Amino acid sequence: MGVIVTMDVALERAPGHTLVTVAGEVDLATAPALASALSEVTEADGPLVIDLTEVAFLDSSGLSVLLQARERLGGGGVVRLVATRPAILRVLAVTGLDEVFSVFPTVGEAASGS
Amino acid sequence: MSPPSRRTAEGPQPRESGSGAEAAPRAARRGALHAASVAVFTIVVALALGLTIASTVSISEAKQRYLDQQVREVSSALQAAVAAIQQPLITSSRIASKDGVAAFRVSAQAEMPPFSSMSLWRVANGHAVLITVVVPPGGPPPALLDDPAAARRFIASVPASSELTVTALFGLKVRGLGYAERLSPSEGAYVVYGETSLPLNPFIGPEPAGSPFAGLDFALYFGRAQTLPTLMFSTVSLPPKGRSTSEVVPFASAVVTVLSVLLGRPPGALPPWVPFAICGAGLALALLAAALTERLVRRRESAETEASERGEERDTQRDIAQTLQHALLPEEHPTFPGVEMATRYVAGVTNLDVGGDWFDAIAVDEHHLFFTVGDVSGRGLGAATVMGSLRSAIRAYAVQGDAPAEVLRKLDGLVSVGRDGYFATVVCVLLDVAAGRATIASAGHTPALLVTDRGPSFVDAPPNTPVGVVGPRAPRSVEVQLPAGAMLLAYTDGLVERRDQSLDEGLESLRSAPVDWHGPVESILAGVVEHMVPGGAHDDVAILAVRRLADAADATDEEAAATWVLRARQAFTRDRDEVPAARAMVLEAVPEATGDVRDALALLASELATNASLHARTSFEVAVRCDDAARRVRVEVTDFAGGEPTPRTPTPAEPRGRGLRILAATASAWGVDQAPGEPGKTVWFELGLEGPDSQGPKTPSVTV
Repeated sequence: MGVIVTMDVALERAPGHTLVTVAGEVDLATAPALASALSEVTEADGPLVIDLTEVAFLDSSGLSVLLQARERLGGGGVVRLVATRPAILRVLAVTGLDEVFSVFPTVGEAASGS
Repeated sequence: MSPPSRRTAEGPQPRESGSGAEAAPRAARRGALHAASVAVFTIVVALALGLTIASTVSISEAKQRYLDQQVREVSSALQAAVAAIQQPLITSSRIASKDGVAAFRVSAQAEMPPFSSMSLWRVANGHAVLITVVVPPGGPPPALLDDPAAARRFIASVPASSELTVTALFGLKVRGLGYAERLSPSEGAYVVYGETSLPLNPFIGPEPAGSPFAGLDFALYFGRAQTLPTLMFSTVSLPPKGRSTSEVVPFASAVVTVLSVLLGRPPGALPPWVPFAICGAGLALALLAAALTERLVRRRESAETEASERGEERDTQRDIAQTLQHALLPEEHPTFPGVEMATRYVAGVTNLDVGGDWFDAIAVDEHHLFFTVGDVSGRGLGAATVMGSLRSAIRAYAVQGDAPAEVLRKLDGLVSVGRDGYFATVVCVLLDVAAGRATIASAGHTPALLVTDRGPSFVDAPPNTPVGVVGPRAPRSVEVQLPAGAMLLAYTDGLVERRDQSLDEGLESLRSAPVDWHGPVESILAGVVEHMVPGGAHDDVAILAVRRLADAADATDEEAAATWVLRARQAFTRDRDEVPAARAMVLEAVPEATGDVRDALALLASELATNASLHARTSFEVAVRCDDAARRVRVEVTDFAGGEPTPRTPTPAEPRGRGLRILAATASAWGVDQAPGEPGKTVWFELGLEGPDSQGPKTPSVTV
């Protein structure tokens, strides 16, 4: 069909944490690609910071992938989200996931965990 | 070898067309010359002949003039010669009479030549007596004296007059002329006689330059007879080789015959070949002119024949086309309770083939009328066949209850511009007569005209590609409200398209047509046709108009509150890539949603599409409706699988069901519709367009 949704995922291993930067739209069509990228991250890589700053759209399909990653890595503050857009913050709030994940306004804050 | 031609009546191959009866006179006509060609030939030949004759006459007259002129010159030279001979004779005779014979002899001596001899005679009582003869030394005696008796008779017969008497002396040894002059009696009784000699061979050739006869071609005969013995001399050989004329002219007391001969061309005359040239050229010209005329006449004749035959063919073909067209169109549209309907088909004046325009109206059930107007590209049997199949298919889909957009979607496989070379523009309208709701889907068709109390305006239906052209998305439709008395008019583009104006001008002309929009539908159509295509349509035109009557409106109190207007409807496959497409389609259908509302709309649409994609067996359909008055949007997603979605309290480990939680939290209203006994369900939500909706359920908290 005529609509092409693009999503970019970049994985970067930094000292003390792993940064996954996501951009574009995350939905049923692109969720598998995000899941695939996140599956490369192991517990040994330290805290996982997922930067959603450039994500324009996120629905339940994307939320499910984030939750699956959190489950696999052991939960409890291991996966930290960076988000500033109202649409993303709202969907996190609506689903209560803003309390499941730690949500930070910047990557720096998320990396330091404070 | 020239290839066999249809124009050759007796070609190596039989004529392919034309009955024998028709071919025979045509062949005969080709064989015979036309009167016009014959006339042209005759006229030109006559002109040429006239010119030939005129030139011939002119040449002949010039010759005759020359000959006559030559005669006159010879004659006047002869007169001069006579005078030159007479004068010395008179002088000598007077000297003899006055001064005696001795003086005569002295005088006569001085006069030779031209005389070869002179003699003096006395005549008395009818007797002539020779007195003396003067001959130059060594010269011959006068030939006259060869016969003394005859000589005396001749001298005695010389009259006393001013005229010189001449006699011819043509013998074997001598040829000459004798001249005698007798003075009047008062001057004495003497006769003076002189002789001149003529050449023995009369053919003397051209006269020398100093001679009075120089340059003249002639022969002189003594007397009237033209015989060799009487021939004095000739400058040409005889008989003459050229044209000649003879004339008897006086010569002293006798006559001579002048034969004037023309050698060569007289000066100033046309060359002798001119008449032949004129004649030959004239004949050639006549043939050429006749051939040219013949060709022109035949060409014109054949053009006239062809034009008349083509005219007949056109008429016949147009009749056939119209008959076929009417056979393909519905004989009578159904009468439907609550509506007033009229149709019109105007055949294009310039087209001979059957066209691809059509209209149709189908009663779906007692409340729903489905009508359509369409136009297959191109003309001829192919276009008519495509039209027939599209019409039948639309009928079938309409009767089974398909919505207009769905009908258009299903038509897509029936015709393909790539495969068949045809495509069609169609407008499909499903009119809920009781509710006054018209669902309109247009596949590249000219906009339908909606006439309400506020006047005529065009329906702005979502643009879909024509049937047969692959489009980027499934067809969409629009819903318009048709109040009691309102009318929808659908038509094909032949009504509004002109070569000399833009489509917009044509549409405006239709919208502002001077007709009574609230009069009978039949007369509205008559007025519209009269206004738009006064001289007959250039292209075919099909028109269908439906007015919802006031009676129908009365029965719809219950539905009167229905204000949802369909913005778009589209089908999607269950492919997961269709989810963003469905989301985009919803956002596109509601451009007035912005900011947070737009985010919410995208999220909800995505959740419903995701849900349908996961549950549907094959495809799902998304419909977007708006209630513009209440500023609300309603999105319906229908899958074709059973079962009702159940919102469950999701756990982090159990992702499914979270979408419905989002739905419940974000939408201002939502629900699931499922018709009993039918597979599939419709999940829908409504959202206020003004801003964040506070009426929805509060966000449920999720506990870990």
